[in-house]
Amino acid sequence: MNDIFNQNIIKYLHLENLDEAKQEKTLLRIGKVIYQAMMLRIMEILTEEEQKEFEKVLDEVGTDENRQSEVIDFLKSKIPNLDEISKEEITKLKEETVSVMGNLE
Amino acid sequence: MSEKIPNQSQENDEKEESQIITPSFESTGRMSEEIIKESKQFLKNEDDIKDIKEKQKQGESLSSIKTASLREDEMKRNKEEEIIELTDVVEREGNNNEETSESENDKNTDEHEPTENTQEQQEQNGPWANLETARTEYIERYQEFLRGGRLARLRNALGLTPAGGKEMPLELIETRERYNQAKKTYAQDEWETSLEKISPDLSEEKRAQTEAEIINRIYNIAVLDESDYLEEARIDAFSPFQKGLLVDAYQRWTSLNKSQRIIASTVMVAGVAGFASLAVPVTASAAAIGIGGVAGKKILRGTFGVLMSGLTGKAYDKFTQGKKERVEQTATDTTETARESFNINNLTAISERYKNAIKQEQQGNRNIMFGKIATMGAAGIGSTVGFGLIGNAFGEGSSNIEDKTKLGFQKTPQGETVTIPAEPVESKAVESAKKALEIAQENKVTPEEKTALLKGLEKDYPREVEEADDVYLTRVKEAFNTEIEKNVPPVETTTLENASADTIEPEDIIKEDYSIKSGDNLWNILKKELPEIAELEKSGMKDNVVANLIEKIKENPTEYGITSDKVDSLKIGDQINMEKIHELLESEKIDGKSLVEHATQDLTKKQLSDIENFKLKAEVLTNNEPSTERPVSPPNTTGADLPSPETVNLNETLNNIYKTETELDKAKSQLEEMKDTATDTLTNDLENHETQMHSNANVDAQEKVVADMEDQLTETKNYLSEAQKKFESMLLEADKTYNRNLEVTAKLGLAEITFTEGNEVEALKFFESATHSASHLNGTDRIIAFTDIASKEAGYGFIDKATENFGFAENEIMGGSGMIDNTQKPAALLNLAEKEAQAGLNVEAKRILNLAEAWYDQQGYNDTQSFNEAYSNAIIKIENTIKNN
Repeated sequence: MNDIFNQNIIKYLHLENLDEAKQEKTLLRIGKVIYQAMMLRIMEILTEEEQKEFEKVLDEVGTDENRQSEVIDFLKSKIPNLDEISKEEITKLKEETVSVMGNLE
Repeated sequence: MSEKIPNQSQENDEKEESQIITPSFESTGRMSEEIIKESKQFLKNEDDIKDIKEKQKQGESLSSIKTASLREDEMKRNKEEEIIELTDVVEREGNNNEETSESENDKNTDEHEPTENTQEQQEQNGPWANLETARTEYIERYQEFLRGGRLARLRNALGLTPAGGKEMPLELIETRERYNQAKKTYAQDEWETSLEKISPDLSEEKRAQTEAEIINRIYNIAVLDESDYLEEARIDAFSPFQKGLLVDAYQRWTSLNKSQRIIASTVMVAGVAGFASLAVPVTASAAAIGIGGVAGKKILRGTFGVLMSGLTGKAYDKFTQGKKERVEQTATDTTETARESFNINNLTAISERYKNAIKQEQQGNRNIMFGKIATMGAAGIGSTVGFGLIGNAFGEGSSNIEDKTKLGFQKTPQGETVTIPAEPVESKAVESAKKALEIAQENKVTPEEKTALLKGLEKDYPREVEEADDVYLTRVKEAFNTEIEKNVPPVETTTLENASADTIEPEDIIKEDYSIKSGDNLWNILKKELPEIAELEKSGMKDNVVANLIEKIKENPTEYGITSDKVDSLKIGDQINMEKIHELLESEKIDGKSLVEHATQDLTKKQLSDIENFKLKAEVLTNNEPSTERPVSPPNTTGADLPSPETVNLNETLNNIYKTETELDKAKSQLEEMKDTATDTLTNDLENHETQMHSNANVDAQEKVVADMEDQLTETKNYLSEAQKKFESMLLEADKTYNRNLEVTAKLGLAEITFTEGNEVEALKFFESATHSASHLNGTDRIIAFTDIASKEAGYGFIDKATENFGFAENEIMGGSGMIDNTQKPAALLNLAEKEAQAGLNVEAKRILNLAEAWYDQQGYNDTQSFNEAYSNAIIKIENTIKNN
């Protein structure tokens, strides 16, 4: 998994030849897709009770910069392999990229 | 591609960023918004659907029609009550027996022989239409699969659970395969078609750029858009609560600023290849990852720092890899030169050069670390983005180095990856030179190493016959010293200067202003933002530097961006000139030492000085003793054997020495205590000072908020006053012209103003007066006026009055007064129902809705479709309104 995980999509697709504005847009879309996918995974894994706790944590922490780590701490307490899940979601999109775009000639 | 090109959602990226995939409306009543929309589409395309078979045979692009058809099939399969009701409304069954039968056949074909039509359809419909079809088919079956036991199957469908989990049905796997194939086919076709359109006359550079644009477009459509579709489908399987929670969690992404999102995205995109090799977001990411130091802090400081800390730390390592290696390389080269030129004439110089090179190397890494610390500190405020993914985004590859090239990249067949050494790497040459020097300095090395290295040394400095190693080394050393005393060659600095030029100086890190925000104080800013201070080990040292720095800044605060001219009174928005402060930090001296050196060395020097004083005192005490004889044994305290007078004298001297040593220890201990006490006191003072400054800053911020609010209040009052004048003028005009509509409008306006000013009684009078005016209107104007007044009244909480006016409106519609004819009544009632729902009168709204339907049924109008649409819209609006209420 590491090979594909470490793949640089932008270079793989030769998008470095794009102008910066377009690169940024695509980059941000990729980030958004992966982030959403992670959120979905998290929601699917958390039990109903944990989801309610999660909501409570999000409400309590709000936008307080000094307390944001509590969100991560909470999720890690419920999903010990959270980092692995993040990695999987990144890998998944990269696999999809290679699968769909890999044969363009 | 000549056929339909989908909308490029990339163009709307920023808009999309602010919206999570909008979950379809979860109906609490008759039908969901999604289904109604689809059904409306279905109704519109009904004629087309009837002809779907024929058109397919003609090879036309039928993607949307096919989609509608598939939706129809899905509705039938689901046998949802709402859908059946809607289907009944349109009464299509009786008219389309033949088509329905064909459609059923199609459905059966789809369900049981999914692959049969794929090739043929692809040829007929084109890649895009097929992609739409394949996606729709997959999503339908996928959602159906999810509904059958959501969590376990969902995970399984997504390949999230281990092999032991329940397997996806074969049919779904096949559907997914077709969908995947459709994406590939679309991408390939789009690519080939687009390539054909590229002019052969383009320059190589322009062609590469054009190709990149094509790929980018295809990627956005075939991968990112499609990913969005699938994520939507997954979200649809969630409960309303879960959807709300998703939105909340997702907002943590959208609340990041662009640079932060770029950083997170870049690392996700680039893996360990990271920033240095990525030509993207040069502007934003370069600043954000810490090149800008202080600027980086500002950019990265946000809601989601913790996660970003892992990201930016590693990203920074990656980005600085080139510089770091150049520093290492320079030091290595210097040492290598030293080793090669290792001879008696320049040994000391080389030794010095080596030490400087190593120091330079460390300094280079240290400065890089400064940048890293600054970046980490900047980002490490608590981030939820990716939840640690960033730290792990680099994976195992980040700490293993196998084939490090000069640039630190390791090519793999799959692409470019980079590994980052965990510790600075010293070359063999460095090790070799170091050991040679250790030999020269008579340090111990292994016998084998010693033999090898001595051989090298003997080339430059021959050994005499049978001269022992230690004798030889001593002689070489003495010869070195003698030679050096005669003619010490100057240390060549060129290489070192080059090395220095390659390091990242603090100036590289501190470039921009620091913008004051609520809660800031100068003390903490300096302590945290200046790397030289931040890296000091002890808090006391930091405080010392900061205190001295502030003393200097005090001399002219405005010069450093403090607009109040007082260092303890920062204003929000002040731009503190960190570069200038940094210059001050570097230039300011105390006793010939920089502030940092002063802070780090002064304490130690003082301590040593005190200790030395005690030592001197002890020596003086000892030297004052009359005898200089030294004891030959410990003092005898048993008294068994009486010592001679000389021995007594010696013993006394010895005891005095012991006593002095004890005093010295005691004094040292006292010194330590004094030092601790002084440090504690200083720390407390500083904390009090910081608290005070913090408090001042809060007061300033609070005052500003109050001032803003006062301004806002004044502005609002002025606005209300102006509005009141206008409505009063309007009322006068209405009286003059007997314009009842204008009268109602003016009175409603005055009611709102008086209510806003807090005068509810007066507001109610205006509402009542408006009702009175409305009663003088004719026809539909009267209905509209009553409805408007009721809506306003409800908005301000006068529910009884609102109910009364809605009742007037209903009576006007239904009263048979001839104001509106019967054919208009259903539509008028639907409108009234919507208004009542908006006013929160849900029960009444539903009653009116039923009344509208009953009137429609009773009259039996011909315009079935328009009423159905109006009715569906009313239901949607009312359900939405009730939900929002």
